[in-house]
Amino acid sequence: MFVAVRLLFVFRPVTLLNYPEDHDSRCFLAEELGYRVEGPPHPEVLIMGTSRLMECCFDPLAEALALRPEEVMSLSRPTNSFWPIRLLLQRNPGMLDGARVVVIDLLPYQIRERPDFPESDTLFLGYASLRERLDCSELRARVLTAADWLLPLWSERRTVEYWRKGIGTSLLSEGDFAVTMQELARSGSAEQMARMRTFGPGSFLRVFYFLYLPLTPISANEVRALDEIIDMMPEDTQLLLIMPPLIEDLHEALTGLRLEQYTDFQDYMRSMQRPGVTVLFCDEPSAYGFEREDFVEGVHFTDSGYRKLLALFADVINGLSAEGL
Amino acid sequence: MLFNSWIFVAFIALVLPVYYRLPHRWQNRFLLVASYVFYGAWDYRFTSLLAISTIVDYFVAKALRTAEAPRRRKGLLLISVATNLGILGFFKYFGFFVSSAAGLLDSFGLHAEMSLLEIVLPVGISFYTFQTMAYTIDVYRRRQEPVDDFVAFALYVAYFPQLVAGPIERAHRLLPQIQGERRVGREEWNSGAQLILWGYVKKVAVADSLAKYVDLAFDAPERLGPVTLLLALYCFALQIYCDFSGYSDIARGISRLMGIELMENFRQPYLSRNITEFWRRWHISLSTWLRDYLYIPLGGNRRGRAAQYRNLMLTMLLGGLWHGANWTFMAWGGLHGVYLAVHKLMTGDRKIAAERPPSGLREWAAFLVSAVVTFHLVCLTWIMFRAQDIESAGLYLLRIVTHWGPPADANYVAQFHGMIDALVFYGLLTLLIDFACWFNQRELPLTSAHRWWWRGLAYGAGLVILAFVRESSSEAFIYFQF
Repeated sequence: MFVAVRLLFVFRPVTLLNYPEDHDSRCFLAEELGYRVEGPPHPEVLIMGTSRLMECCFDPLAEALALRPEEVMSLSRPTNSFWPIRLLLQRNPGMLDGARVVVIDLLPYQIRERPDFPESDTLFLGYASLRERLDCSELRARVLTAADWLLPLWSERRTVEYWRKGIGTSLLSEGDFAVTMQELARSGSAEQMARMRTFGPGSFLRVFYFLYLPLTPISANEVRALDEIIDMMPEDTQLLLIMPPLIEDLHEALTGLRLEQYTDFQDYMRSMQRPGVTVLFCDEPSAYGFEREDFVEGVHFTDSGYRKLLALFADVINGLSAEGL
Repeated sequence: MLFNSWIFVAFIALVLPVYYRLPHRWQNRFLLVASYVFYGAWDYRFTSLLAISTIVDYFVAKALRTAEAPRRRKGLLLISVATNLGILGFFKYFGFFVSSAAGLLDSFGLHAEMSLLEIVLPVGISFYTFQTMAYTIDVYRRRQEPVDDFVAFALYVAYFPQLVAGPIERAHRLLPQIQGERRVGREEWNSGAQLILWGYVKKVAVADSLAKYVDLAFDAPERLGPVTLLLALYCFALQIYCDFSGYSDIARGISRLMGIELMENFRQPYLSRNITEFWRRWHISLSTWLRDYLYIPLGGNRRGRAAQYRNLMLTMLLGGLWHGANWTFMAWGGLHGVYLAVHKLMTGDRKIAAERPPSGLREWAAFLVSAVVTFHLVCLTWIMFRAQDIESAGLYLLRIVTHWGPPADANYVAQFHGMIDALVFYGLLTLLIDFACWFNQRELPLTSAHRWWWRGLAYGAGLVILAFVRESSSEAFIYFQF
């Protein structure tokens, strides 16, 4: 039985039998594109953001860049980081063909292992190679993820509905893509945003530290993934690694406390700056025109925040040259 | 400890090897200790109740051996029944009776301050008290010799595979096996392991998977439409059957691995043609207990039609009450009593046809129609069984039949998006397992007569389903609350 099951999962890239479980059926399309797509889209501007960019409609950005709406595509997903971005790009290699700019939105947790890793990281459990599993920093993570690779009793446990959908799933066509992404993003995360709006500043600081500045080891897999993303970029494609502004309170706390998790992250990311790769930390919110009402709870944006963010993106992208900003 | 927990797997992994290496006398002692450890893992305090029940009935039975005077014999029996029903009544029904009495007084405008104790319900209390009472009643009736070996008797009461959710064994079946030498050969291993596998598939894969839809539906029926409610009801029918029969299968399988045969407790009840047949296939150990110790002593069918219907109703009402301290369970039992009485009225003195599979197109058609009708009649009773109270049950039924009340809440309904897939898949899976047993009139879908690769494929499929299909996390057995 073990041999049969293992063989089944060896053919995962082709069989499309897998389907992640940790989101509802109105899933974020970036998650679906973690699996191979026949005929992936070829946007000019590809946004690979976190939940900060999930609810955003990028049509104004397309207009500002003199592009059609479908030429600006967002594959943002919650808790996005370099490893899943690399996975998605690897499994859909044609997607970067003709891309002018790839935008990755930065947050400090992205080079670290998650506090609840590996149980919570179903993409990693589903797709990481054995080598990547053995590269996890914690012994427990190495053992669990390797055991799951051997016999995926954790990562491949799906509901009946997902097994049914996963078999022979045909993913959304190019034409439907951009609209569907925004609809899905809005409907899926509205409840979460509503809940986060109820947090007071003090509570949110604590949540922020836990979620975004975890005191967990640096992830060798994430670091390697970022290098591989950079290597994947075609010659004419600019990679923009940008951390949009945070609310004033968080900005002051981060700069005032000079937390290692944040300064290390900044230093590391800035070391990635090179021709073709631009790194930008929008540290001071007021310098970019962001005010309190532009943020939901301090990290995610309101509609007015998104308008300013897209204007910022347009300015930055238009200012990009072959050598970066 | 739940059967579907890693700690139980570890427990069995320790118990079985030690058990096999011990001589018979020490096997019983070891099993007795293991059984008390098993029960104590729930709450060590309730092992005292188990011990009290055991000690009282052991000595009452021994005293009955020499007691000849009818009055003395009745007195001894009364001690056993009073002790067991007293334990059961206090721990299970005290709160119910007190709050019901207060409610009744309130309805007459008399407000009474009734103190309500916070009483924890000991797991399996309904099962072991009935089992041990049956022993003393049989001794009283001189159908069972009292047991001298205290360890054997204590093990009969506390035997862990069937302690907390049955089957409710009879002394004449279980005691000789406990007292006698036991043999575990290849056939016992094969069939025992298969029973355990299908038990876990039914409990872990099917019952646990459907639980979340059932909970959502019964928590807020006013937020759902009739179709969703009906489908959720089907889910519950499947859940309770697979939960309970799955547990029984695991219990029987483990017991068979120790050379002890427990009685079959479920025989594909949803493939019944009528309600009488249903009760011959559903929770057989309880239905036969109620027949032998309640229905027949009340007079059964020996005192005319009216008395028979009365006895049926009383038996089913008390059978309902056995399930839980709530009017909904009595309503459930009462409805089944009505069904049985009506069926008796329809069939008269005609013998119920033998429960063999149909042959020919006409018989198959008749079977399908009657099975579907019977299933739906049973589903109607499941509303009472599952609902929190009579009012919720009524609302649930009303919403299905008339869509009475506010329109469905689209956001709430969205949580059921996987239900149809789950219902179809798990329904077919259960039907597949049960049909093979029902059609061939045997306890297991496969036997050693089947080709090795066919069996391997089936067992492999069961394991794959257990490993890779889930809707939710581990759920406790429904019947543990009894």
